[in-house]
Amino acid sequence: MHIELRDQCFDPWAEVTAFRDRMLLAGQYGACAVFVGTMRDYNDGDRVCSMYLEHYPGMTEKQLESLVSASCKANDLMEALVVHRVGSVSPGEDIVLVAVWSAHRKASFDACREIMEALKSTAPFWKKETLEDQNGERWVHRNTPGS
Amino acid sequence: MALSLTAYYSLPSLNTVCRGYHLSMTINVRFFASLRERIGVARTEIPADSVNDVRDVWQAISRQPLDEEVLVAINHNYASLDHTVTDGDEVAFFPPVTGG
Repeated sequence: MHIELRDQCFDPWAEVTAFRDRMLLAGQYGACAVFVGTMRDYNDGDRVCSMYLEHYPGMTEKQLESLVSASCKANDLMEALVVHRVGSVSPGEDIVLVAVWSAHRKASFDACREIMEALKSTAPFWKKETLEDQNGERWVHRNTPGS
Repeated sequence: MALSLTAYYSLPSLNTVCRGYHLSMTINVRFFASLRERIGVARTEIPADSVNDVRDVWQAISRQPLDEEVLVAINHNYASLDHTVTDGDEVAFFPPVTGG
């Protein structure tokens, strides 16, 4: 299990490949599910030109470790990788990567969604958007439900 | 009730400077995101003997009603509003999370 916060752009697909090659043995796993969340240039009918992702150093990492660890155990995962941006983010840049590996597809599908939903509702991150119109700023009030 | 309401947006907190002396007598309080902007305080300290639970901490600093949606953590773990606070605890208040 690996969890990382990044203050720079990252390539989720390169991360998945590098992690798999480093941490997993070919022939041992049968499934991998990946979720990548990317910043849009619009939200609630407004054009968004940038975003700032605040977090709670210490608690954010602890909460992520706790929820990923619980899902690894519950779904009998072989490995899990979570990368999440902090700081300034621009439209088109990836915000979050969740990748999980298991013997069969059900565990991977279930765990990937479970981790993402738990992250969305419990990991202490807050988005502040800068809008194109008059350069206004606003906090995103809450996340939309995932199901 | 004697309160120290200094905001430390960029300065190191007294706890960083005087760790060990201060931790045994105070509750460290933090506010994040929109709550930090609303209350006007990022980080402060209050005497541990002036409060019993999380609700007391909020009242002592914010002097305003506590919204139902406000989330609380004590020492980096989610906690309820009636959770007891003790010397050296870090109590954080923040709005619903919006990561991912």
